[in-house]
Amino acid sequence: MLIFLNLTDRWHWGTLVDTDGWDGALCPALSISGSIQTELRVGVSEVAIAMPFDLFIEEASVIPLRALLFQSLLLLVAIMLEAMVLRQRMRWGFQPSIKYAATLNLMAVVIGWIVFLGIEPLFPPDLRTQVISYILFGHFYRNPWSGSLGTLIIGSGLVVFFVTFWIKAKGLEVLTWMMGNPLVSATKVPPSQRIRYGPKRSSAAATPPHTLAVLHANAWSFSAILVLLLLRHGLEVGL
Amino acid sequence: MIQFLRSLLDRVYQFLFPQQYFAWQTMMYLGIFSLIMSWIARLSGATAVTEWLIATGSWTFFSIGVGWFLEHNQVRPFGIALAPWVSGALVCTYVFSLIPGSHLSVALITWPLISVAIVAVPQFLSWDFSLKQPAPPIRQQLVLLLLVALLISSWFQFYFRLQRWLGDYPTLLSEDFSRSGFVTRLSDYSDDQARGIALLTFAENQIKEQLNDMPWSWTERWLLNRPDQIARIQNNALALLSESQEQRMWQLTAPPPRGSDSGGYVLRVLAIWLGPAANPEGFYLEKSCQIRPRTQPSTQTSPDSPPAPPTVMTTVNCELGIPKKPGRPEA
Repeated sequence: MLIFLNLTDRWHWGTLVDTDGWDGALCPALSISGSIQTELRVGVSEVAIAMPFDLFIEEASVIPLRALLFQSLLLLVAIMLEAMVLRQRMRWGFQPSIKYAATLNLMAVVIGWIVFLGIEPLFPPDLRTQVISYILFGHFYRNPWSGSLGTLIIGSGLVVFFVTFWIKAKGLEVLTWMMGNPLVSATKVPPSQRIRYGPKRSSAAATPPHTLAVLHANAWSFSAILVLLLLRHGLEVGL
Repeated sequence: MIQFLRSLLDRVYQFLFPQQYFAWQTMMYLGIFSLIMSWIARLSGATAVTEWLIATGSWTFFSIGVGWFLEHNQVRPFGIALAPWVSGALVCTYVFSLIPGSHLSVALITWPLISVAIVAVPQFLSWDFSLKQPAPPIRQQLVLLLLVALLISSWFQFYFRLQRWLGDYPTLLSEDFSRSGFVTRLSDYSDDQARGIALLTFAENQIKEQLNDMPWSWTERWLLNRPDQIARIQNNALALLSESQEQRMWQLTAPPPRGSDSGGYVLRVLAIWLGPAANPEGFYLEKSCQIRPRTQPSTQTSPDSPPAPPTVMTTVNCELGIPKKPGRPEA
């Protein structure tokens, strides 16, 4: 196979394919006349020496570098914004807020990856090629799924927002419990307040402040990510 | 000069032979010693189990020694502790070289997790192998580290998933990825990787086989019945695509042939790619063949019989190049 790859650098396919068709196309040495054939043999031995490196480059030539960089950027922005919100609402110090925000966001991202990598093989082939199209070319293509993709994306975006919020809220509870100062018991409303403000207010106060803080933080980071994604899309279309 | 040499020698000596035995050098020496012993065991024909046991010991000592060295000398580029990652890589290399077969993907995916385990285990186990609880700040640090490792592991997994997609649909490699928001291509790409080229070459051979040196009337009937013939060729060609999942992605067609100057036809055979492509409209590959009548001089069997009417035979010549064109072919 590698012989074939290297040969394509020197000759165009058309010249290789002309004689005997399919068999000849894969093994050009078989279908090319005698003198060139010996030349090819020499070439083959040279190729064999350079093989592992060439093979590695050919196989590893497509790497998800941009996904990696863009995800890191989005994570940094989200962590920064959420740390600011948590610091303001939970009255934590600078470092604890950053650490909590980093942990929560990483947790959400990791769960997202696990879910994506887990369900991707289960997609029907047409949906799978749409996903591949978006990842490799940045757009969808025409096939039976293309009509319903818009609703699918908006719907899954909403679902992802609320699932992320739930993961982060639960994650914060578990994390503070692990750290030895659980939030849930600490934030119970004292009974004296309940009497003072009447029974109607108590139901509103039942939402613990950390849930509200996480909701706000999540809304901020999702808006920022959405703006960044739209900016990138706009830049790409503009270029 | 002599002073300098002496100080250099002293430093080398101190590097190689530490003041106390509780040092990373001890581990490295143990590793070298076990390695030599495992070779001696192999050469002296010991059982495989003995050799394996000693070799495992040497790998363990090396892993601990390298990790210890990096930690001791505070090798921390960009503030990242390298020791667990290097030790984890050594452990992965050893473990997955034991198992026959290629396990590069599994090794890379588990590497970050093993590294975290190397960091975490000493925090949960005290020296006498009894469980202990790490302090809260260390717990948070470990959770963060575990999540970062899981993220890196997912990235590796995504890389291998990408390779599987490209293996399933090799034609994608002939396309331009520069508008992708996810991937970068390191090497050049060319149109040659489109599997439709093999399909069209196969079709060319089939057409030549079926028409070359056939009577011209037969050829004209064949051309009239073109859609069925092309469909049959595509059915035969599906085996070419069997190692990928592209069978449903290619469509072979031939628009009505145009008449050419020499009294023959120009037949265009198109392989239309129905899958994802850099151009949202897709692309197709084209092979054009010239089908010409050729008058065969009638062979005279005997001088007295009347000359038979000359038979008209068919010659098929196809272009070598298979150009790739954007969009869909006009109907």
